[in-house]
Amino acid sequence: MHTRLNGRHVIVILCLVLAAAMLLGVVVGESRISFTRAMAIIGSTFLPIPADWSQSEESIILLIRLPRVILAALVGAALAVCGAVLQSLFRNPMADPFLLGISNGAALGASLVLVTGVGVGVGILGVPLAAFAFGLGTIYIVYELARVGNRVPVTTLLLCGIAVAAFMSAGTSFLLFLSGENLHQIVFWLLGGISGRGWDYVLLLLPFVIGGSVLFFSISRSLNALMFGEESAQYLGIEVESQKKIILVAVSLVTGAAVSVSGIIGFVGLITPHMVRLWIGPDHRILIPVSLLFGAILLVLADLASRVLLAPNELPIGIITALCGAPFFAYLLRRRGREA
Amino acid sequence: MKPVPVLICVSLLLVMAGCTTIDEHPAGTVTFTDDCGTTVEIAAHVERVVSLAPSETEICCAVGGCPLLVGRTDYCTYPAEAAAVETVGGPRTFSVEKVIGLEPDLVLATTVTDSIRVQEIRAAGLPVVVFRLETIEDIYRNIEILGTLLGTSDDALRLVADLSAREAGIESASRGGEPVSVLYVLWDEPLYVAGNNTFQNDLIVRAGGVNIMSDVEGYATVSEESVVNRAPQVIIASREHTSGLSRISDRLLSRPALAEVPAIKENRICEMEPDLVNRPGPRVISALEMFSRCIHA
Repeated sequence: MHTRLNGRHVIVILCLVLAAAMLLGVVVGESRISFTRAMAIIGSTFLPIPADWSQSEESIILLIRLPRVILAALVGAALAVCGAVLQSLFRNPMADPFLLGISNGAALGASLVLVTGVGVGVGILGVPLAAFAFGLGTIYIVYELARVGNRVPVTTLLLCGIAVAAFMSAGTSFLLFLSGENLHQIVFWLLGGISGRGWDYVLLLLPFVIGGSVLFFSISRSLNALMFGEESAQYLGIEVESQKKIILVAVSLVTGAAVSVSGIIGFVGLITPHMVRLWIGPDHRILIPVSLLFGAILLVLADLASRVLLAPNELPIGIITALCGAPFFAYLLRRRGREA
Repeated sequence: MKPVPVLICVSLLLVMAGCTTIDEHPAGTVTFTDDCGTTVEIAAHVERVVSLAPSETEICCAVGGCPLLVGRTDYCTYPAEAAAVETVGGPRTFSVEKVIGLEPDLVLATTVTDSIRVQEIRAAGLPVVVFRLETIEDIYRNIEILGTLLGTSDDALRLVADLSAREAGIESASRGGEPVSVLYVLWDEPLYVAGNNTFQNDLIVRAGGVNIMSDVEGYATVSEESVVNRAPQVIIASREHTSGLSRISDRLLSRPALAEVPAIKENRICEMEPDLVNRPGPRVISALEMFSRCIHA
């Protein structure tokens, strides 16, 4: 009944929506700073605009809201695009960026630093670096366990992922048990969030998201072929095993970077690609950029809600993404069911 | 509403303590209704005490009951004398078997202690007294009751008199001046702060400060923006238990987003030993003194 939307139009529209959402994120907050003043403050960084605002207003816009909005967009984009790629690679609708235990590994790494205080000297980056290292380490273990000669069967990979993830999460639980009075620090990390992360974290994540997105986009044809199954893809001239390896490494790096700055934010990586598929179909040349933009928009808005709804309290962002996203997704599924 | 029966209960106990000796009561027991309304029968002459909360351990030792202590939790590390006592596990994860095995004739707990385990201990026939500690007055009351139960009323009354005199001194010194805006930070990333109805809030107000997060209920995560916007003059932060991490005050000072906050501009950040504030024990007055020094520095 409905014709599929034109991909290019969708991308342009989503770019505009993302820009609008980010603008909203910069303008709205506890302290009332007018739109024009907010714009003037941002403009003053590269234009000679005379400052008629206070120093605190400047730090609120430039050091708090702006990096936060950008970080939300980057994390959302990273998780959504990784989710889209993994779901195609595994041809499994349950796949998400945390599937192969990366989040459990990252959580264990972060908890270790928080409980024992190892990693002195790297300052605030101790926790994200440990999370990153453990996340990648976990994926590596899963991959090596699942490897049969030169091949990595998807089912084995998923099962190994589950086993290793369970082991890692048991480790985290044990640390939580031991942590006593450091308990809340770990719990915060596990809940996930992007509050209070400055430009350092933006710079940490940016190269991974750009590099990953470019790579995923460039292999979108292979991903299309993989949708028909590994064997068919092989006949279509795709080097399945080497593509798989590249994808896994890239997804691990991008997810690892995202998890290390934001903790574990569920739902975005799982649901966003599905929503996008329902809207614009399974062609990865469009699916990948649209998932990326959509995930970014979703997380920017979720983050805005998380800090505005109960201000000055901040809600964990994962609560918002799941609370609003799940019913919406259910609605999409039902609607499609009726149309089919 | 609550204080009246509690007061009666305390004064009754004090009266009983005044005339109770083992000789006069051959049955050798006193009955006592604790803060949860449970009536507990306790030996008039307590000889073996297990404490299931760090605050109770501190109070027990402060009224001279340390030699009676035969069991404690992992977190009961103060005073040093108590730290030498055998531990039964964490305040919410301790081994009931171990508690019973220590054969105490009095078990001390607070409303934070795992209540299911408390039930189990009671089912084994051991007297568990549960205290509810929400204000400084609750602590004084707890000290007096424990003094009575352990037969060291004089020590307890002297301690309460001393603590309340120190408290009154601080409060009168901090009255009258310009109120100082204060933020209490328990953890910096994300910013986890003390709002209304917390011990920290109580201490800030008593020390002559105004908690900038008093519109937040309990402990909460708040945005950096709200801190910049509310511009606290003083920040008090919990020193973390993990010694390996960098210091919380250094991390707050070096955070670019907070650079415009007056407390950070003028380097008015104090670090608090978290045990002093987190444990509603006799050291709370020392915490109050530190708050006062920090706020009026």
